[in-house]
Amino acid sequence: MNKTIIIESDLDRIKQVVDQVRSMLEQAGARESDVFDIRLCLEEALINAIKYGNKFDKEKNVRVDFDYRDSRIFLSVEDSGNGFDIGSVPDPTLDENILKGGGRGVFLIRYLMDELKFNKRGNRITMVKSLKQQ
Amino acid sequence: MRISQKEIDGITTYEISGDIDINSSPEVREFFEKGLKGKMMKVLVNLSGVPYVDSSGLATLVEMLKKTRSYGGRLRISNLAPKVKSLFEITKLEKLFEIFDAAEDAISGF
Repeated sequence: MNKTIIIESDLDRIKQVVDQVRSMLEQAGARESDVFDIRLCLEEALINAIKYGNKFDKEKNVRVDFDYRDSRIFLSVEDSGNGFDIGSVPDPTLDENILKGGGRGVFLIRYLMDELKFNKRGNRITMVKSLKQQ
Repeated sequence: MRISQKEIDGITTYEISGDIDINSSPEVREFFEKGLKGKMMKVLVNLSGVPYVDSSGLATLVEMLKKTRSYGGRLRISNLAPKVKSLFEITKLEKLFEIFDAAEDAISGF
């Protein structure tokens, strides 16, 4: 049940990707709670790819690969940017950062997903989550 | 996404319906920025109609809180859906906001 979608760097295209992943999750019998978490992490990863990776350049694409096997969902989001180091994102829960605007998207991905991997360049994030059946 | 505003007994209540995400956050922010120019001292944001919030939505609510506090006002939020509430817990924003299960609880003793 694997699929690849390539979109231009336009926030309006995010819904198209999320709808397809949601459809796959429904077929897999995912719980509403897992659908919420996966939607959130996918959207956050796509926003980061479009905003920070491709800097809203519509000439640059974002590639999304998703797969469901062995009761686990695999999601990869790749942009054309130079990549980033997840370790450089400040912890948004610390007192000195909690009133700041950024950093929560990556933090939520790290918290809600079971596994997280980056390629060496740092422009592709792979997220894995086990689905609990209803 | 829809927002309504009403004022009863000195408490300004905003009711939001729909997702607060990357698409709707600018609209929510603009609405509140206009509203908060009135420097209301007691502000309640009722999120009963909000099934989904992303990081930009959380940032928007933090901005509102900062703005309200900047002139000495107070902001409370109520009626969070369980998954939305869990995001406040994960990100530790629950320690920043006054969060109530029901709007009535938030209003009483405000």
